[in-house]
Amino acid sequence: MKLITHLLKSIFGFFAKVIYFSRTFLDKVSQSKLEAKKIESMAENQQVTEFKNLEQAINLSDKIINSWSQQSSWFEVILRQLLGINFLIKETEQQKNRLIEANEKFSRAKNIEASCWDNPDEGEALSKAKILYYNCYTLVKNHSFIQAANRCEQQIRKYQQFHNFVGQARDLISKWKFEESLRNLRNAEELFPTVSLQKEIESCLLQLELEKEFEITKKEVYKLAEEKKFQEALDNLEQVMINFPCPDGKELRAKIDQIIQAKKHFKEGLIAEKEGNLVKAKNEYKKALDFLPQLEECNIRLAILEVKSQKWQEAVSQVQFSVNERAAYIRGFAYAQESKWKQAEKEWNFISDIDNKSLCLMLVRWHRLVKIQEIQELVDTEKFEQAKLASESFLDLFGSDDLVRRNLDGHIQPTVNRLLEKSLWESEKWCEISKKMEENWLQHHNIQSLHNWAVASYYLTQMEPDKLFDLITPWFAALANIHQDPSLQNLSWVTSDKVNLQEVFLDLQQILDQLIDQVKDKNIEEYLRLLDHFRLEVTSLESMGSPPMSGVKLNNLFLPPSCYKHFISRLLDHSSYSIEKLYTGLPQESLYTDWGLAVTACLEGDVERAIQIKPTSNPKTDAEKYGYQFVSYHQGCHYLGRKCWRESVIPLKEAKPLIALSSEKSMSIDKLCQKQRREIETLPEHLEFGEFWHDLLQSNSSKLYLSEYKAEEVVERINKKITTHNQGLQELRKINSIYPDNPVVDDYINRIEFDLELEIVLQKMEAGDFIEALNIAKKSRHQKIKTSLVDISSRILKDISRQIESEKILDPQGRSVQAKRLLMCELVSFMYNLDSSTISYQTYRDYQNLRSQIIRSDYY
Amino acid sequence: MSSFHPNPYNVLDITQTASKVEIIKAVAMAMKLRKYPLDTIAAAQKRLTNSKHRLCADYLIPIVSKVVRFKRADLSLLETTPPSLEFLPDFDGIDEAMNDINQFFSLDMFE
Repeated sequence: MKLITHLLKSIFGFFAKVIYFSRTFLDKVSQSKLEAKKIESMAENQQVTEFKNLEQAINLSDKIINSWSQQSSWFEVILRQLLGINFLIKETEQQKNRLIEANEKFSRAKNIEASCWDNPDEGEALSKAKILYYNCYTLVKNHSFIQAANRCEQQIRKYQQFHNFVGQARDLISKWKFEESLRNLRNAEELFPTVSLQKEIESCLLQLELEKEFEITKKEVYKLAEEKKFQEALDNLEQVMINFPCPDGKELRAKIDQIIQAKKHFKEGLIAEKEGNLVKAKNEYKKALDFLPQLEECNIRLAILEVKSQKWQEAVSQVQFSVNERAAYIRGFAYAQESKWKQAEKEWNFISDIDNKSLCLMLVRWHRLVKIQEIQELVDTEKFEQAKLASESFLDLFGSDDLVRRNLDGHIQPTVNRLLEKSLWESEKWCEISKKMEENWLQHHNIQSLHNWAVASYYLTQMEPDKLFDLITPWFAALANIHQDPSLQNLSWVTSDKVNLQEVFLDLQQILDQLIDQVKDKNIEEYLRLLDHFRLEVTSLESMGSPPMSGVKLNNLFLPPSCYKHFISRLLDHSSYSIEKLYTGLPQESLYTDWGLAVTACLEGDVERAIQIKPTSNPKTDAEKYGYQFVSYHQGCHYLGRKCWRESVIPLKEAKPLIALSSEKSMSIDKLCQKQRREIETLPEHLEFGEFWHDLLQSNSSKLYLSEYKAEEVVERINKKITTHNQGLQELRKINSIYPDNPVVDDYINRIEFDLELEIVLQKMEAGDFIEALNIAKKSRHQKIKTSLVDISSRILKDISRQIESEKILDPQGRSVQAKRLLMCELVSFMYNLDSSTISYQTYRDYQNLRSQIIRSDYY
Repeated sequence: MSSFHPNPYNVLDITQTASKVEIIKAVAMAMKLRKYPLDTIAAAQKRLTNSKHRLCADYLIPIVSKVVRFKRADLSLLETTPPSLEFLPDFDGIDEAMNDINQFFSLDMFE
């Protein structure tokens, strides 16, 4: 019993121990976990400035680790594993290491910050402290580390601001701006009042004092300069600049020095000039100018020296750009010495002193009158050529003068011209005169020069008939402008009020016509060439109107084509002439192109000549294209008129745009084509010609003609069985669209339609389908089909009737006879229904009864 | 040369203003002088007595330059003593310059 009791006690004891151990162990575990959390909290929440707790946290970590370092029993090992104690120990060890590292970096950062604080030269070291604080934060997420880093950052910015102020201040000092520099230094001082900065401020204040002193002296210097005490001013300035050598001072010193030097040489120059030593004076003045180029008086003195040396051009150059009144006088004087009175007068007009001005201008006037007197004397002695030169020289020297200009242009020059012209015309050297007049025309292009060119060319032709071609151009150009020709105006012998210009125009045109006619028997080629140009000019003049209103206008003169071309071909620069092109339209403009001659030949009805002389080049402009089409049209008509339609194809196709614009031209070609078709014999040529005619005009005649022959060609093919009726009918219907209701084509169509329908009806009848045959025949628009069917049926009826008669003898009730009788009944019924007038009603009824009998009989 | 037809006015040596009587007189004179063949003189007379042909003859005369009357200037000034071209002392100014040389110099010259 005892043994049992002891055993029970032992067992109870064991369990009691186990329970106690477990409770103790669990308490330790929860204690460690609680402390681990406390470490984290201590590290993250404490103030960094009071970082004692960081060390405490490290100690606490040590305590946790140490508390689990004893050798444990197997039972405890199991429990440690189960309750995650090993993981806790590992984490605590890692945490401890981080805390140690953070603690170490924090200590370093704190030391650096303390040593660099308020020292703007230690910005770089403070940046290192800032980085260390950031590193601490990455180890322990305590916000105080960030705050410390931000604090360092702010301080670094202040250091930068300080350095900016100091830098700007030093820059301003280098520019001698001490006032502004001091402001910057003061701003820097407010941030960090360092020792070196204090020294700089003191230095700046000293410079400011010196600057004030300089400014006071500067004012005194200016005052002395105003009083012309330049040397004294310079001395004062140099004294103050010993302590304050600012750029302003240096500049001022240089200016005063320039004045002193220039004044010295100028004075020397004046003395030398006064003594008559012009060479020395000139040298001294030049030296003075070297020091002081703006010394205008020096230039004037140099100009006066040049005047004294009678070097007029040099005198002008010396004061060329001076607006000084004395300079203007000197220039005027020098010009007057060179007889350049126009320039002299212009300069002297600037003189303000009335007496001096009138003296000068009087001089100009006197010399002007002397020259005029010379001109008058030359005119009086009829030395017009010299008078002309003297007048031109006068205008060159004295400038514009109404009297001299009027006398030169109205009297002297015309007299010279008249004398030259008179001697030229009297020389009767017509070739030379003609050339000279042509040049005059090209130079002046007025009615007078044009008229004289025409007259000279006329007399040249009288002497040299082979030059007749050269007469055409000026002759017609002059005739075009006869309305303004002065040779026919104010004729004293003409008793009537007005000359009949149109009559003179025709007489003069006739003169040239007769001259050309004389060439006909001598040289036919030349005659034709002359005639071509004559015709062109006459046509052009007619197109211009009377008086001329259109065409090409130059300087109020109207130019016919040859004169316009002559004018243009002899000028290098066309743009300088105002040539107006006032064409009435392309027909007129075409006369001024290379196509003009051929166009005129066509207009004159000489198409063969037009074909010969038309240009070979392609037309480019609209006017050339018009000319080309116009000639092509006439060429085409010419060939058509000669019944050579094939030759007319190309030219008329080229002229198609022109033909399309003119109903007259279309009608003309239409008539020619109608005549041409009568000459054609074969169907293929009819077709070819029809196509060409139709393509060209699309006229009703061409459509009718083409559709007829096309239809004929189709019918021919049908007849030759090359084309079927159906194909032919389709082609004919197409042809009909060329010219609807063409009776010939319609007839062909009707005939073929009839043949086709009849064939179908007969096929139906042959198949015994009389009802369908009857329907087709009845619907047919061809009346003839009914009559044809009646005829055919009637013939069949008679034929069957004869057959029955012969068969009846052998077998009157035979099946064949009955069948034929029945066929006859059908035919009679068909014929009666087709046309009731062909069979009497009684016959119809009889056959109907017979049919009924046959059907009722044994036959069926 | 034989086919040359000179202007009838030149043949008869008359102006365009000649009257019929003057033409007849000129014909007589031309025949007397024999400067041109008789047929040329006769043709010239024929042309000038026919207004239609005379207009053509007028047209075939060259147009010469028109001359206007010469206009004279008043030269009475030239009857007075001619002025001389001398440098006026008022515009020299050397004495004024020597008397007051400072007038030309000032710091304003640099502006």
